[in-house]
Amino acid sequence: MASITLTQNSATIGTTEFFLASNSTTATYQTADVILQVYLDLGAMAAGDEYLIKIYEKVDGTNPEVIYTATKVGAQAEMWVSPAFILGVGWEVSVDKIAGTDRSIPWTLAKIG
Amino acid sequence: MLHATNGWGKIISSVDGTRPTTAFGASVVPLTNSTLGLYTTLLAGASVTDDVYGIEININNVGQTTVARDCLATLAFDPAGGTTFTDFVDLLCGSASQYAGLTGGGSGGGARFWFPLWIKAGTTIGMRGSVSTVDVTAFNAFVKLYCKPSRPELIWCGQKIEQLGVVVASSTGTSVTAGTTSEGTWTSIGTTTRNHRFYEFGFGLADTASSSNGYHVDISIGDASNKHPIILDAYAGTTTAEMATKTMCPTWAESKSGDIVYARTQVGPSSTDSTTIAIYAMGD
Repeated sequence: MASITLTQNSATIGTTEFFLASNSTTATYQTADVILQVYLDLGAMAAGDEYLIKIYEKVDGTNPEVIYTATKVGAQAEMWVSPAFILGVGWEVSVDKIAGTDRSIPWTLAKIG
Repeated sequence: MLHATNGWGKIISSVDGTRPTTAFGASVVPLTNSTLGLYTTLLAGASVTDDVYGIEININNVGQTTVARDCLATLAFDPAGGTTFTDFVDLLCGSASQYAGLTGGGSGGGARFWFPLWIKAGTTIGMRGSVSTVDVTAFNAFVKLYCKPSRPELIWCGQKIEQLGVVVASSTGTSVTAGTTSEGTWTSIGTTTRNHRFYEFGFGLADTASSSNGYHVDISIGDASNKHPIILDAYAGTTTAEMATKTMCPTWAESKSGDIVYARTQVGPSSTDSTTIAIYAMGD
């Protein structure tokens, strides 16, 4: 029976792409079969900041490809929530700063699998 | 990258089938610098047969030759389907042009707005106006309503508008001096007091001798040192007959309560006219 796993952490993220599932600037692509939804607290962002969010999956079975991107600019009024994705070949979620100040960003990866 | 989009199953127009003409739509008789004008019904509640997810508003025939005629057209609703209206937003449309057969040639189209506004079926849609001139000759207006979405989960609709830069006492907006060979200076239009997801703007002309010009309007959000553009080079125009046109500029953009909203303009090919800007921000 599938269960829900909530992985929570936070990191100060700058211009080096940070991988949330790996909790590292080095990606370890995840192979667990999941339905994934990503929650980010971007409340520390301010005017002049820009962050890029990416979700990767190894669609061809070998190479990680970006399957979803979102850009957040300026002060944020609310939490950011991704759509749900069905993943399992080799997936990751990343955040990196495009402009502005490095910010501490808490996150939750909500996984059903 | 989600490969789905919404389509509209029904559009309700208050002018469908009516031949375009100079003064197009319902006649709205304004007062001089007063918010107490009489309402004109643009669309009766009985005609609003479905819940509304988006509204297009056109205001035309405000401008008068050699007259500086600023104007606020106040959109209003009666959810009960009668004519007991509640004001919703003051739309800046100073000297909005005639609709068709524009003085001096060409097609004007007036001032156009679009909002992702949810309105319940059966609501009467009305308008009243305020002008800066003693002459209270009527202007004209019409609406189109967008209903029956194919993918309602992909649509965000608001029910509140925060208007920034509107000066009700003089039926105008906030003066923005246009740049000519380079962009104009960013001018603060106002500070938001709520979180928002959508922006539109209004353009007003009040000049006794305007030129035939095109304006590029830029809108940004931020603070004194950081400005994130959300609208770039949106078009508004002026004529030698003291009339203005403004395209619809529906813009989805997120902002936080306390953000400052700025505008700047660039004009050509002639020198600048006396113009103002208002900004309309929608949130939950």
